[in-house]
Parts: sequence; structure tokens; C-alpha cells
Amino acid sequence: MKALRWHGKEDIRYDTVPDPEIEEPRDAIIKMTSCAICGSDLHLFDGFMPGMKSGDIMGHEFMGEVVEVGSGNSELKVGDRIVVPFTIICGECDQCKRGNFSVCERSNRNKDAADKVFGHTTAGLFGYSHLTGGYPGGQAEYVRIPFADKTHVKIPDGLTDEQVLFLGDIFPTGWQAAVQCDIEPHDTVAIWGAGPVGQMAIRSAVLLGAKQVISIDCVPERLAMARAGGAVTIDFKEESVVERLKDLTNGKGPEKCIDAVGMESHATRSVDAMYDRVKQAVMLETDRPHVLREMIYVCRPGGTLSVPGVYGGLIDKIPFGASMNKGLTWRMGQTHVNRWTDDLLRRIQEGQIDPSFVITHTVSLEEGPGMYKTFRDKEDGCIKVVLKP
Amino acid sequence: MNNRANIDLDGAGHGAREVDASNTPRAVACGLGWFSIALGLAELLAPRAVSRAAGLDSGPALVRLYGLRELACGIGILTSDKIAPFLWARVAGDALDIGTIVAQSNTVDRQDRTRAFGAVVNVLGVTALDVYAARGIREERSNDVTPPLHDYSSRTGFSRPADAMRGVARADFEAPRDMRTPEALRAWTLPKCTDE
Repeated sequence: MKALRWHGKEDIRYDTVPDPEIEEPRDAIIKMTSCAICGSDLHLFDGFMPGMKSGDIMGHEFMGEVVEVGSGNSELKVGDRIVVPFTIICGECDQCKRGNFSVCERSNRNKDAADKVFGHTTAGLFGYSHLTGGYPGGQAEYVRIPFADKTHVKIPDGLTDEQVLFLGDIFPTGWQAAVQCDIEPHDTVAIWGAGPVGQMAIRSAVLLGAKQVISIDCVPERLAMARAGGAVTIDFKEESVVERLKDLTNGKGPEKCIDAVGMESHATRSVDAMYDRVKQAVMLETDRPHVLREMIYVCRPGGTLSVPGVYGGLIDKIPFGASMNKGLTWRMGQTHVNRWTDDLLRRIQEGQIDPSFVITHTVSLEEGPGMYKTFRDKEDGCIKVVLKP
Repeated sequence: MNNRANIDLDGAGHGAREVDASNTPRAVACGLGWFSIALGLAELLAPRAVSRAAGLDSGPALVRLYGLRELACGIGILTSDKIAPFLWARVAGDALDIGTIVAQSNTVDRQDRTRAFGAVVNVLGVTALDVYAARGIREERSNDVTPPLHDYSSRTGFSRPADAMRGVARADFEAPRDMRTPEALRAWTLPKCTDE
């Protein structure tokens, strides 16, 4: 089969690889019908995430048709159409029973390495380094789904791939980011980053009743899409984020702040952003937390910071004193996808929201390697790339 | 460090395109900014070594002062909206550097004379880049705003206008207990579901 494989920093190739096989009784094999490039794939593309090996298959946003089922899997049958959550879940461990699917205790088969790096393992992920289990990803013609009896979202007839594909990651990610804020009707929610997750977070915050949603970015197309979703926008290249947020909140700051940017924040004018670049260049810092610093600074005392943005390692110069003294609440984590998908699927079926709005580019899997750069550099108005086999 | 020249040096947010890291005044200015910072740090932290390399017969205090100047120029170039003044400040600083080297180089020692000559040549080369970048930035600056490539202004994702969808999920969604502020920590003076 064909698949997109990582061969080093900024080196993704369309390769021929062996077809996957059933390895465990709970497995299933799907024939991929649609997949996407995620913003967090760019951290792998840019070489920021440790644990990748040359030849690893990329991709954790995908869906398809079941073509083979393991002997111990009674939940799926051949022909079922499923979206695959990016987090692999066993459904039986203590964390899964609590609904904390992104920290499943059993699905990461490289648990020892993750224990050393993070203290305790998190869930296995598709196509996201050997720290998370080294599972081949979904940017491939066929994909093996471990623990497939739990790791799936069945899709009924009548919905296109484009409408449901993002149930595997960015839609529940934006939704959880907003839910983590515990939004009240009088809240202003400020969201840094108007990429795909930011766009979903905007619409989630609107649906959850935020009085005002503010989107912060610098790319005109992304800001326009954010406004279409109901956000007031701030272009951080044109004006001061801090001053504008004060203007929009009677000087008090937003009650809730969402970091939909993560480790590759690139604010251009601030001294702290320059500091991060210098430290990263000499390998004294792995991530660039400009957004975290800014959120801590502007958030209203007593407010909440929600962090769906991916971080991988070490950050520096965090004004934790400000956070502590202002009594801020932090909620963060990878998405517990299966906690939300039943509800979100219903909202799609009822027509409340159609996540396909975010797709700007659809190309073949073969063209996928070139799209990584297009997506990363925001060329040609690129916001979200879907790949078809 | 990634190779994207994603620092929009004119600060005006023109267009959605990022700077092409090749032969443009902006890219040269970006490089000069980082060069200033690197040189400034070297002059601050190792003034005697920098003096020796330039064949100078001067104390560390003057070199450290020049280091502060370089850092200020570098930070200005990389973070300011208007970078041309900082580039011209670099040109003035280059003139000062050349004057200092000429006035304070050790002309007795042959090796120092050679080093001083080399330093002057280097500074002249950097001066040429400073002038190129400063003049180029001034010429490129324009009042025309590049329009976005694509119009996504109608992509609400909703079945109705966004304002009509506000709060729709409140009717049938309750945040799980582990993602809610505990009741005892809620703003107990604020009635529920009211505006400020």
C-alpha cells in the first residue's frame, strides 16, 4: 500500500509499504477514505517532537471502511464506516472508566519510555512518535486500529466524510477546549490561534453561550473565518493584544482564555518571543510559550486558562507568580475524544454545525508531502488539508 | 531554529504571505538584526577578546558600550514596526567603529595592524549591507494592503447566523463535573445567568 512516511525534519515521502495485518483479537483494519493533516503533525514535520524514526507513517486524523475484524472484536463488522479517534483507548482501565481517554493506561505499548519522560504514560496515539506507542498513522491506504472495539466512532448513512472526519480530533478538541473553560453567559472567551482547532473552539464557545468570543491571529483568511464563526478578531501584527483585550472587556480582561497555538508560538514583536527563539536555537528550551505568558498576563483574576495547544517538553520564564496571585485555573490535556463524539455527531446530524467549513484544500494522498509545507506556511490561504487515497 | 522568515519586519501585517527568506532587503535586515545581537553579546561578555581580534589597544569599557549599542539596534530591527531608523543607526555605528579602529588600533605591532585592517574591511562590508537594507526597506514600503488570497467570510459552519446560534448548546449540554468550577469557588455574589 501507499503511505506518507516521516524521514526526518521537513521530509515526508509518499512511500510503498506493507499492508497492515490483524495483530491482536480486538484489532480491525480499515480502508482509509479520507484523512487530514493536523496542526500537531507540523510539530513532527518541524522536528520538534522527540521519538520519531525514519519510516514512521504519519497521520492521526482519518476515517474509513472496516475491511477486516479481529476475532475478539464484536463491536465492528466488515463494511462499517468509522471515524477513528486520534487517541487509542482500551475502555477498561481506570482512566478510561473515568472518561479520561487521552490518558488511557494500557494503549501505549511503549509505556516505559513515556513513564520516564512524563512521569506516567498517556494514551497511545496514531502516527505520533514512539513515545506514544509507535503506531502507524492514518495517512495511508489501510490502517490497523488497535483496541478497535472501543477506538472508533460509527458513522450512520447520510453524512459525507467531510462532515464527520473531524470528529476524530479537531472538532472534539475545540469543543473540549471550550468546555474546559466552564463558560458562563457573561463570559468573554479569548482564543489565541485561528487555525483549525481555534476555529472549532470559536464555534464551540458560541454554542456554549459565551457573551463574547475573541480570536487572536495574524493571517487575514483565518481572521475572516473566525469572524464568520461569531468572533471579534485581533490581528496581533496590527495592534497590541493586551490593549485591545482591555478595550473589549472594560479594562478587566477576558474571564476565559484558550491557547489553540501550542509549542510553536511565533508572535513577532515581543522580546519574550525572541528570547524563546534564541533559547530554542541553543537547545535550552524545547517549546515557545509566548501565548501562555500572554494569557496569564491578560486573564481576569479568578479566570480560567484552557490549553488544548500541544506542548512537548520544557518551557521557560513562565510568570507563575502572576498566575498564582490572580487565582487562575488551568485545565489542559489531549482530547478525550470519545467523551464528546456522541453529542457532537448528533449536533452534526441535526444541522447545528457542519465542520467541513474549515476545509480549504483537498488533494490526493500522493500530493500530501507538498501540502505539509503549504499548511505550515499558510500559503494559498491554507487552513485545513484533507487527503484522499 | 526553523528556517521560516516569519518575522514581518514592516509590522504592518501586509498580506498573508510570509517573508521569503532570500534576496530581499527584509531578509537581509533580519539577518543584520540577529548579527547585531550576536555581536553585541560578544562585545558585552568578551570585550577584551573582541578588542584583540580587531587589533585595538583599548580597554573593555568602550567595547561594552558598543555592545549595548549593537544589542539595542538588533532588538529594534527584530521587534520594531519601523526598522529603517535602526538600520541607519547601524550605519552610524559602523562609522563609529571604523573611526575607533583607525584611532585606537595598535600600529606598532604588525599583527595588530593586520587585524585592524581586516576589521575595517569587515565593517565596510557590513556597512554595505546595512545601507542596502535601509534603502531597500524605504523603497519597498507602500500604502497598498495586499488583499487576502481567499474569502472565507461566509464560512460560519452554522446552519444560521452565528449570533442566532449563541447558547444553543446550553439547552442540552452540561459540562462534566471534572471540568466545572466547584460550586464553593464560583463567584457567589454574582447571580447566575445575568450580564454584568
